[in-house]
Amino acid sequence: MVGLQRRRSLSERAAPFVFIGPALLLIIILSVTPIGYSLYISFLKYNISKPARTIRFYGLENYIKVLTDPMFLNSILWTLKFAVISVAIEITFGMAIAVGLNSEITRSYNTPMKTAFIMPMMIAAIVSATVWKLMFYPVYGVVNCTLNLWGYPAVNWLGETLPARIGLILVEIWGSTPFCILVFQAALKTINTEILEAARVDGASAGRCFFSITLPSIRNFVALIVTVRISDALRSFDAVFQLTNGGPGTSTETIATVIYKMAFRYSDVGAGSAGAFIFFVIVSSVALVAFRFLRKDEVME
Amino acid sequence: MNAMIRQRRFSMLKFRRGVRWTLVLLAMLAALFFFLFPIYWALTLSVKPKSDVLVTLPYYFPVRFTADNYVSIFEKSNFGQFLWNSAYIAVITTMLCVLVSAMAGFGLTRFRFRGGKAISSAIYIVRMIPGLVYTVPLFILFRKLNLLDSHEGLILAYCTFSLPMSIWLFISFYEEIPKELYESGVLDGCSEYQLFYSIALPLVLPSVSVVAILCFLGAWNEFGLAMCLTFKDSAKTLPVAINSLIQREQDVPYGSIAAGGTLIMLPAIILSMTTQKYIVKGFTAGAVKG
Repeated sequence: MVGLQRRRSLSERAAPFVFIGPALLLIIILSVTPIGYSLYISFLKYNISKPARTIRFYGLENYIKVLTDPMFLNSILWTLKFAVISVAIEITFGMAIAVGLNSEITRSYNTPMKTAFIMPMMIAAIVSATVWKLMFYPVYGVVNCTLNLWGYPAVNWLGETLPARIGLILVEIWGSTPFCILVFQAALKTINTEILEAARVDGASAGRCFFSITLPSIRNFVALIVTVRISDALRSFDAVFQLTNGGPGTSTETIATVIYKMAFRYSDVGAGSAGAFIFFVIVSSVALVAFRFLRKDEVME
Repeated sequence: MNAMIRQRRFSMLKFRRGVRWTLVLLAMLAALFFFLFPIYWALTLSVKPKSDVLVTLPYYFPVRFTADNYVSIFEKSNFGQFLWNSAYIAVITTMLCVLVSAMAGFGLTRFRFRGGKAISSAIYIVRMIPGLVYTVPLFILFRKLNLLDSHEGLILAYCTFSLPMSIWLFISFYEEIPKELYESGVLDGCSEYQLFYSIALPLVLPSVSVVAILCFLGAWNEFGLAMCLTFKDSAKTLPVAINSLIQREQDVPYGSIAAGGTLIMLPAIILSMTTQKYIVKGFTAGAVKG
């Protein structure tokens, strides 16, 4: 037995470590260590603007502090609303455009159209929020100027709660629908066209075909996109930070901006770390629930 | 008689078809307008003179052109430095990430060993962790290690974000390679390193650009961590710079902000136009895998 086996040199036997080692090392040093350290900090009374001797063990105080902070609790509610509303619109919108892109009508313009549709997704969230902010500005912003031109009153987009919330959802839809379009388009290509054609020959309307054949057969893709998008929307930070910075008042604070402010504006890194872990738990459980729920009666392939 | 009815039904069908085509095209055009207008607006604002920007009846099409806004961001703020910081950090991150993940992806698909599955799923879990969780510990650790306000610090931090995704993508590329190729390589006396270098790598080379594009834009576009880890102009990246430009509430410098924004979007726009195929592959492969 042993004689039959090719003699393997030391360098051959080390190959798995050589290939996987660097990545593993980087991930352990740069990902596992900080997270472990952050967990440790979350049990400390730790304020970075105060001298090191004030650091002491704090037990679960930080977690209790975050979970009883009214600003944090309010932000959870708005973040959930924001995520659900924007994802619902993105999914519908993305699906409609993907179907439009796949139809014979747009076939000859397919490539330029797709290029146009992926651009918003590739642009930094902070930049798209900046551009939208320029467009939303009260006096010289193009949105209000156009509304005035058509005879509608100007809206105080970023200064009042409801318009600010609508604005944020709009920016989120702008940046994230492209991802839904791409994945839905890939999903639509997996559908067996023979069934669709057979149904069409039998006289089924386009709408009937879509809801009875297309949608059920890409259900798993829908579940996946909803999960990915919901967890991203719950984390959204850049756009909110740039557009409203949580204002007016605290009406558009998301979980992420509240935790950021705790840790960096008020220098309370202990509470910030605890908040970040609570945040992680919230995001993953919502994503998990969404995935389970949407995939429920699907037979696994 | 019969023929006439048939004729009429035919033209009716044709008419309804025409209406449907027009409606679909109009809807698509409306969608295109929504997605392209902000980009168009940023571009035009950046080349308009101030007198054409601060008007309540906007010039939807620019009539006068100027490069003043671009000149002013480079002269009045440290934009050249920020541009260099961003480019340097993004390029090095991309190179490091592609190299390390190309090797790790090969290792994870080629070798079956105890714990291999565990490593793959650990990578997946790391990918799910929000960036915000890293900000506090990285800030404190970097402060102790003197890595705040340094290019190296941000490069290392961005690798953490990009590595899991890149390894995941590389695994899916390597899995498409038939096992027989490796076997014949082994029969020919190739070492594992030669298998990697002369069989696996050339085959996935076209897909490397997928990973490279996503890593580059990930680092180029990142804002949250850069804001927490850099404070001096010598290390600040473009996203942080544009954030501080807009913070001034009074007398918003529309033109400079639009010029800065346009510069930051430029790589994204160019990449979308030239490498659409790879981008689509990256996002759909990533989504379908994970």
